[in-house]
Amino acid sequence: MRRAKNLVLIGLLFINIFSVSAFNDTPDYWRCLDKRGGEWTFGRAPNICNVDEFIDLPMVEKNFSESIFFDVSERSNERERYMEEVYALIKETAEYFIETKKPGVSADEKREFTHATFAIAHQESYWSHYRQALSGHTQYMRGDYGHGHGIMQVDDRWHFEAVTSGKASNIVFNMLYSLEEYYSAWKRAPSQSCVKSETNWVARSRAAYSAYNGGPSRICRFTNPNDKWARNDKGFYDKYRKKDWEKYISEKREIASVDVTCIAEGSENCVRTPQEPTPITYEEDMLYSLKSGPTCLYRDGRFECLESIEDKLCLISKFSPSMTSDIITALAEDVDEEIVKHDRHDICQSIPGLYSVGSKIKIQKNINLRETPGGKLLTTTKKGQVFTILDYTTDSIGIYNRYYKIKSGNSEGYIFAGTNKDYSSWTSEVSITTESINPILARKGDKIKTLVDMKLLDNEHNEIGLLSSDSIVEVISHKITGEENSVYYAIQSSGFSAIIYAGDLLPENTVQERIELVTNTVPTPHPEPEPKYGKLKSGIWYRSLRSCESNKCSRIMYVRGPVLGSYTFKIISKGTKWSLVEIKGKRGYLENKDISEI
Amino acid sequence: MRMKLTALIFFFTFVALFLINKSEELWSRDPHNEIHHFSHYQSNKNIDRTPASFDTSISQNLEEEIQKLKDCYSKICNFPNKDPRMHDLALGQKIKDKLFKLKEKALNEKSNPKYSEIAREYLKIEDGHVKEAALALMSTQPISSENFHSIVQDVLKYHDDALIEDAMMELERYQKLGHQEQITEALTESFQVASPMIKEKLAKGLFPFINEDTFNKYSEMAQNQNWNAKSVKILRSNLRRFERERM
Repeated sequence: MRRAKNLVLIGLLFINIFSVSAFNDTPDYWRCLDKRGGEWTFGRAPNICNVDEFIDLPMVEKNFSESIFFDVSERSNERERYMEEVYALIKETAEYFIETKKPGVSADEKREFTHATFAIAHQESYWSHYRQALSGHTQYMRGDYGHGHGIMQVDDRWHFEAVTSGKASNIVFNMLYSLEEYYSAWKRAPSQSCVKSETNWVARSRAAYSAYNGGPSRICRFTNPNDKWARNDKGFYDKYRKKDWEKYISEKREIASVDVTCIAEGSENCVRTPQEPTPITYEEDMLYSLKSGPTCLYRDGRFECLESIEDKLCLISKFSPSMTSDIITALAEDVDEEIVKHDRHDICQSIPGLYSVGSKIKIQKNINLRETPGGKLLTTTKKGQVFTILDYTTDSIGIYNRYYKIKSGNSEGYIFAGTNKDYSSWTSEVSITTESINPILARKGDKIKTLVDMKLLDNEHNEIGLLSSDSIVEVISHKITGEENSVYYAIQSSGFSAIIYAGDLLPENTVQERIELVTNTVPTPHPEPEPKYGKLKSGIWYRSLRSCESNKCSRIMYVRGPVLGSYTFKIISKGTKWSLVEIKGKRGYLENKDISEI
Repeated sequence: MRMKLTALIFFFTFVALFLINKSEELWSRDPHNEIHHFSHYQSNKNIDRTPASFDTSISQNLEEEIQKLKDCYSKICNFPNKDPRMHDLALGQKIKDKLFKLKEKALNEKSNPKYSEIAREYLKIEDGHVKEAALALMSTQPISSENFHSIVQDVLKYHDDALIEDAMMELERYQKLGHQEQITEALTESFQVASPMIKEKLAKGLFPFINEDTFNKYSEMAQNQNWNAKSVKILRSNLRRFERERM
């Protein structure tokens, strides 16, 4: 009897493990550290929890300092200041959103959509997001037993990824993410019987809210006063009509302190600086953004330029280290002056203590690894671990905060690595020979095998020949250049020497698709067995590389089959149904039936 | 009495374990090998409309179950309803589960237009989870112009960035089988009006679609965008990578 019970339990357990559910049964106040209360007034809705559970606190305090409600300040003045800033922030975000989704949108539609956005934010959170309680720690609003995150109340049970990725805790992304659903219903509403016309703005706004709040199929819910959730529709309409937020705003500002477009489009240094009028003559030691795109420092009558705005501090450090402002003036017209385009790798090395891309660093204290410098927390790197720098980025003029992109396991992300004063207490450069765990780049003397046909290049990168796939050559030196951190190797083999393009480190590492490092074989008493290699079987388009031995486990990446240009992968170990394999530096599981051993 | 009860429990337990093993077997069998049709598609880029035998035993039930569930979008069924969205989201999860089961079945059968029809129908549901499963079901079937249209309209132009990688992978099949022009048009059009999150995913997945014929189109697309946007940087990087790798 007991055994039978056990078998039933085992059976049930088995079913549970493999049940598919994207609903995350997060407990109330999940990851809500230092919970504090509030009141149902603008900016202070209950409750608040620590924001650094999901995103980097310095990033929040740098970009959104004006959007934080400070409890320590005199309440009514603080509310007015806060509301004026958040008004501008919501307005800019709503306008940016609808202009992106509907180029050429009419002024009327833009105004009405923005009005509806103000009302949603009121209904959901009383325009509450960031708040600093008397403790002095910046937190953010968590309603509905902690499940609703921030100004638009992104629910962690249904939008788990949006919460863990840090979108919900970033006030701009919180709104953009939520407006996607609202806009989807907004577009559909005019064709519904309860709205009928594109310009029936009130009904359109209400219908879109019903769908936003209750799901796409509930778009006409607001017309049914007996619906279980009619009170939500009434609440929204009440706020939409009364516009209570206006009572707290003396001056309706058009521009927020942070550049919404900059945040939305992926940057993290987006605090607005006073707009300089477009100059007729250019000022020495000033930064300009050329009409054609690059960011430049004007000095000695010419523009010294780098492609990416993210590298502006490199220009300052190299050409004018005493500059105290990194304001950029955007130029609307082409310039006649000389423009010199530099390689970031040549210029950025002027930043004190910044290690170059490709260097190996040792972690000096436990440091968080984040998807972006201020974004989603991936893992924590441990003191003593060694990594290769895949990229760097800097911020804060004068102190040069630096972040290195590294790969840890299957995760790639950024670690903070200190300022120009204390960088050595965060990471230190290590020599190539002392650490050689999972090398990403080949060094002098290493042997590499080409995985694809490659052009042989001269010093000016002119083509001088061809190196076929599966050739083994010796590396003489390496060089990393350009925006993609492209890796070039000087190589030699049986009497010839040349340069080959090995791949890029950005936006993703392609070196491992083109080159394989050939391990130096040192004779040992118990030699390791020859590694096995495999490919997906012919006939398979693609498969998912899984994080564990089941098709229900999360996907690490797609693996292409032969027709789509399959990769050869290393088979680490083979089980009864699944094999652990390594592809492009990532480890995961493929089913044996899909693998053809080479 | 106690002996009988024990025997009965054993019997049901073994039946349950047998069924579980059966369902595991479905995962492990060779999937439907659609590249057998590759030469057919190369010469005739139309849809495979060949009627195939359709095993009605499991999938008919599943299909009926899914259809019944779909009706719940227009009424309130027996799903949790503690907050305004809970009902429809829980319903979506249930449909997603069923669609994944149908995908398992489809993987072990010959291609069948019925599966594509179901996939298209459920790609229209405005729930990213349902769309994910519908797209997975679609990936078991040969390509078709209807399926292509559905991927573009109901995934690329939808607002869930988590689906873009799946859609781009699926579109690679269409690219390989000669539908490049339509893909270029669909991707450039989607890129113009997508949200920043979607744009970034589109740009990341674009490299397999860049070739000598499309390079200029995508270069033009990059020029008309915000230079400093992350998605546009990724797009420029992919274009330069193509130039560097060009043989």
